[in-house]
Amino acid sequence: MTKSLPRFPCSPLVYGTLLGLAAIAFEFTLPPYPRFIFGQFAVLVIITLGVNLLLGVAGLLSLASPAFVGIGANLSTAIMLRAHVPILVSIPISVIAGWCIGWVLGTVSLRLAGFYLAMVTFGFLDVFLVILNEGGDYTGGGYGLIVPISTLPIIGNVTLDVVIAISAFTAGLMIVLVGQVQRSRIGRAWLAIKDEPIAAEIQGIDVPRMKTLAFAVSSALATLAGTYQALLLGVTNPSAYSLNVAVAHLTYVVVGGMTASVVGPVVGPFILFVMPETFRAIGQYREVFYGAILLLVLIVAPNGITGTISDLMTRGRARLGR
Amino acid sequence: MNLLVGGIAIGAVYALVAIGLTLIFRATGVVNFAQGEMLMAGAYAYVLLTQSGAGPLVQILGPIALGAVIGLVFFFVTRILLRRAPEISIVIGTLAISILMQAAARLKFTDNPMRAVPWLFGDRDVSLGSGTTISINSVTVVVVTMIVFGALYWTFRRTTYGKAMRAVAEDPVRAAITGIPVNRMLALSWSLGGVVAALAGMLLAPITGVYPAMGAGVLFPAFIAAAMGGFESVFGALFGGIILGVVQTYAVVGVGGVARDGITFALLVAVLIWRPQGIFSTVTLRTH
Amino acid sequence: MRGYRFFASIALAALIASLTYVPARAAGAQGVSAKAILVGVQVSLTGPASTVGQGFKAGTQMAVDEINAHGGINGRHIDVVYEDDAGTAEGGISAVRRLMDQDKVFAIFGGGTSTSTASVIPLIQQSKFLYYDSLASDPRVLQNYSPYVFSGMTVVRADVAAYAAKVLGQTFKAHTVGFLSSDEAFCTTVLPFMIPRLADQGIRVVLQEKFKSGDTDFTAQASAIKSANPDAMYLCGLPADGGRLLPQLKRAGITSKLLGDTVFGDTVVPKLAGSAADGFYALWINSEQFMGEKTGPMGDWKTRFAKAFPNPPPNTPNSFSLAGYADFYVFAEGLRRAGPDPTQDKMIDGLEHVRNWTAGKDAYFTWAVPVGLPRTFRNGDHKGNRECVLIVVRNGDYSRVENFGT
Repeated sequence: MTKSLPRFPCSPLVYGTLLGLAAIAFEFTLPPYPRFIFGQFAVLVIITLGVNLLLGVAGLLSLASPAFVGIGANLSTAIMLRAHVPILVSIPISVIAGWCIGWVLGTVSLRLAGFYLAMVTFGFLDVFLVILNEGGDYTGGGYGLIVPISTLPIIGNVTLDVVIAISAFTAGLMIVLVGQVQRSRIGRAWLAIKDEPIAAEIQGIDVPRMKTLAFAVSSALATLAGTYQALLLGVTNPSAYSLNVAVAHLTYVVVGGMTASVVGPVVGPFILFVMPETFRAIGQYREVFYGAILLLVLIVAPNGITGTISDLMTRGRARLGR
Repeated sequence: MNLLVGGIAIGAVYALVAIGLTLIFRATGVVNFAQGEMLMAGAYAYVLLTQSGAGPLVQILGPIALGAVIGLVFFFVTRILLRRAPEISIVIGTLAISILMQAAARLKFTDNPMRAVPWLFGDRDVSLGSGTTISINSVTVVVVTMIVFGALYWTFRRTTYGKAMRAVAEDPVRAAITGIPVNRMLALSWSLGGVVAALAGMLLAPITGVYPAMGAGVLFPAFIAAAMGGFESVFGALFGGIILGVVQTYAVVGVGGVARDGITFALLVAVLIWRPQGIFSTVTLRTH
Repeated sequence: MRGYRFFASIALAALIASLTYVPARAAGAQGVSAKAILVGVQVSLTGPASTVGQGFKAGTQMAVDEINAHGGINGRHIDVVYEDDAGTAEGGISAVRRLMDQDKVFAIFGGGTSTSTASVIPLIQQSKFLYYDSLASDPRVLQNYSPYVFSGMTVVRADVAAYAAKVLGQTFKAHTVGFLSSDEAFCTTVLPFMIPRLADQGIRVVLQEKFKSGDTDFTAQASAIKSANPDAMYLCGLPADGGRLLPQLKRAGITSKLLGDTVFGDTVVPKLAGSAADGFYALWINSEQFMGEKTGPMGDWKTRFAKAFPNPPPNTPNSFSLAGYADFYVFAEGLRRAGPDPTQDKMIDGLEHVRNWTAGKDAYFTWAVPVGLPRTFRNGDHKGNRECVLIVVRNGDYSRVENFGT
C-alpha cells in the first residue's frame, strides 16, 4: 500500500517542531515576494493535508473545505474585531468551532457516499456563502472584513513576516503529526473504511465514529489554515470560498496522490499553485495551463504523483524478488 | 400563469442537461462534470452559425454534430487515456477538460455574453390568452425536451442498440462475452450525451446569452434533477428538472432571489433523506 | 540521536536571527532610473472580469506609447509592468505585493475590479505606497481617506446615488420609484444612499425587488413591478443581467421609465437585449460621448485605437479602455509635476493640484485625444471625477442626453 517512513527515534512532536523550524529558516532565505508566496503555500499544505486525510485516506469526497477556511478566517477576524482579543485567543476558538462544525457535518453525511456526499457538502458551502454575504456587519457582507493587527507576547506586533513564520512552522509540524495519525490505528481504520467498508464494520471498527472523526480533523485543519490566510492577506473576502476553490483543493489531492503519504499534500499544491505563480509570463493563459497540467498528470499518473511512485516501487520490489 | 410557464421552460433545460448526465452515467459510470461545457460549446456553435447566416437546418445540425464529436473526445479521454485511473480521477479528468474548455472560450470570446436568436421562430412572443405572453423559445425548449425524452425512452426500450447499451451499463463483462462491442456502445453513449448537451445549449442560449460560464450555471440544478432520477431513470431526470424549475421560480417570488440556491439545496437534501436512490429508480443505492 | 540536537540548535539560531530581520525600504525613489520610470499596473487579465482587464490594459498601453513617442516625462520614458490579479481578493494582494516588492515599481496604476482593489487598500495604506485607482467603485476604496490613494474615472457610490436621484426626480419627474437590484456589493451599497435623496424630493419608493447576478428568469420580479406600477424604476446589476432582464420586463408589459446604474452603461446591454432596450436610460461616467459615437473626439480616439491595435483582444476597445487611456494621462500629469527628481510625495502633491484637467485640452499633452471627463484632486479629497452623463438607447445603441456635475 504505502511506503512508510522509518519509525522516529524520538517523539513525532519533536520531529515536527524541527521540520517547522527548518521551514522557517528556509523561508527567511527568500526575498519578500517569494516569501509571501511560500506563506500561501504553507497555508495550502495545511488545507491539503486535511482534504487528503478525508479523501485519500478515509475515502470521503467533500466539497466543503473552502467553507472551513472561510469559517477560520471570518470567525477569528470577527472575534478580534468585536472582542478585542489577540490571535492567541481567536485562533484556538476558531479551530475548536471548526472541529465541532466538522463533526456535525460528518454526522449529517453518514448515510451518504460518493457523489451524493459531494453534493451535500457543496450545499453546505453554498449555505455558508449565503450567510457570509447576508451577514451584514458581522461578516462584512459581500465585502469581507479587514483584519486588525494583533500582538503576540515577546514577538510584539504580528507582522506579515511573523505570520509567514507561523504558517511555515505549523505546516512543518502538521506534516509530521498528520502523518503519524494516518499511520496509527485510526489511520488504518480509515483506510479500511475506504477500501472495504463492510469488512471494516465486521472487524469491529466503529465506522460512524471514524467518519465523523475524519471530518472533524480535516475541518479543523482547514479552519486553522483559514485563520492564517486572513492574517496573511489582511482581509477576508467571500470570493475566496467558492466552488472553484473546493475543486482546486481536490485537484491538489488527486495530483499529489490519494494515499496516506504526506508527500502528496506538499507536491500537489507545489505543482498547481507555486509553479504557475513563478511562471507569471504565462499571464492570461494561466487557466489553460492549470487545466492542461491537471489532465496531463491524470493521464500519466492516474493515481497521482505519490500513488504512481508507490505503484512503481511496489512493482520494482516485486521484480527484484523482495 | 406566467410563472408556471417560465418555471417549466427553465425546468426543461435542467431536465435536458440532467438527461444527458443520466445517460452518460448509466452507460459509463462517470459523473460528467463537463456537461455544462459541452452545452456551452453547442451554444457557441449555434450562435456563430446563426451570425454567419446559415439556414435553420444547418443551425441545428451544426451544434448536434459538434456535440457528437465532443462526446467522442470525452470517450477517448476517459476510456482510453484514463483507463487505468480510479473513478475519482476520471471524474477529476472531466473536470480538467471543463476547465480547459471554459478557459479557451474565455480567451477567444471573453466573458461578454453574445446574443442568440431563438431557433427557427426568432424573437417572437406567443399569447396564451388571459394576459399571459411567453417567448416562443420557451415553447421550443419544452417541445424539444419532450421529443428528446421520448426518443431516448423509445430507443432504450425498443431498439437493439438501446438494449445493448443497457446491457453494457449493467454488466460490461457479461455484455462483452455475449459479443456486444463494449467500447462502441460507450462511445455511442458519450456521443449521445454530447448531442443532448449541445441541444440544451442551443435552447438556453436565447435565455441567458452565450458566455463561457453559462454551462456552470445550470450544472448544479441539473445534478439535482439527475439525482432525483437516481442517475438511473431518464424519466426521473425529466420529472426532476421540471419540478425543480417550477419550485425555484415560485420560491423566488415567495422568498426572494437570494434564497434560490437554498431552496435547490433543501430540495436535494429532502430527496436524499427520503429516497436516496432517487424517486424513480428501481435499483438499490450504489455506494461509490 | 545526537544529530538532531545539532540540527535543532541551528534551526533555533536561524529562527531567532531572522526575527530581528527588518526589510529595508529604498531611501530614494524605487522604480526611477536615469532614463526610465517603472510604473506598475494591477489589472484583471484572467477570471470573470477579464474583458475589463484586457480593455483597460489596451487603453493604458495606448496612452503609454503616445507619451513615450513624444519624449516621455521630464526626459524619462515610461516602462510598464502589468500584473494580473485574476479578479479576486487574494489575486489583488499578490499582484500588489509583487509590484511593490518584486518588480519594485515607482507607483501603482490600478485597473482591478472592485473586489481585487478594495482588498488591497489596507495593504496600500500600511505600506504607504501611491495607488491610483481608475475603475473600482467600491466605497471602501475612498472611505478612509489616505494620502496615498487616488480615484480616477470611477464615481463613488454615494455620488452615483445622488445623480440617479436627480435624474429620477428632475428628468423623469417621477413620484413613485421602484428598485430592481442584484446582490452584487456595488448595488446593495447604492440603494441606501438613494432613498434619502429621493425622500428629499418627495418621491416614494414603492418596491424593492432583488435578484441574484446571473439569474435568467425574472418573471417573479416582473409581475411584482407590473402590479406596483411605479413611475420609474432604478435597475442595478452586471451588464449581462441588464441584457437579460430588459426583454422580460418589456414582455411583461411594464411601462415605467427605466434608469440603469453606471455599470449598465455598456454596449453589452443593448446588444443582448435587442429591441427591448430601446428607451432604456443609464448613467455613463467614462467620457463625454458614448462609445458608440463615430464623430468628434470619440471618433478620433477609436481611429487611433484601431491603428495602434490592428489585432485587438476580443471585445475591445471598451469603456475600460477609455478609462485606462484618460486616467493614465492624469497619472502622467501628476508624474510630470513631480519634476526631474520624482518621489511619491512629490507626485502626490502634483496630483493634488490637478484641477478640471483633461489630457488633450491641457498645455502639455496636446497630442492626446480629449475623451475623458475632467479630473480634479485636492489635498484631502482624492475623488477625481464628479461628472456623470445620462445616456439612452436609441436604435440599438446608447446616445447622450445630458451631463450632470457637481
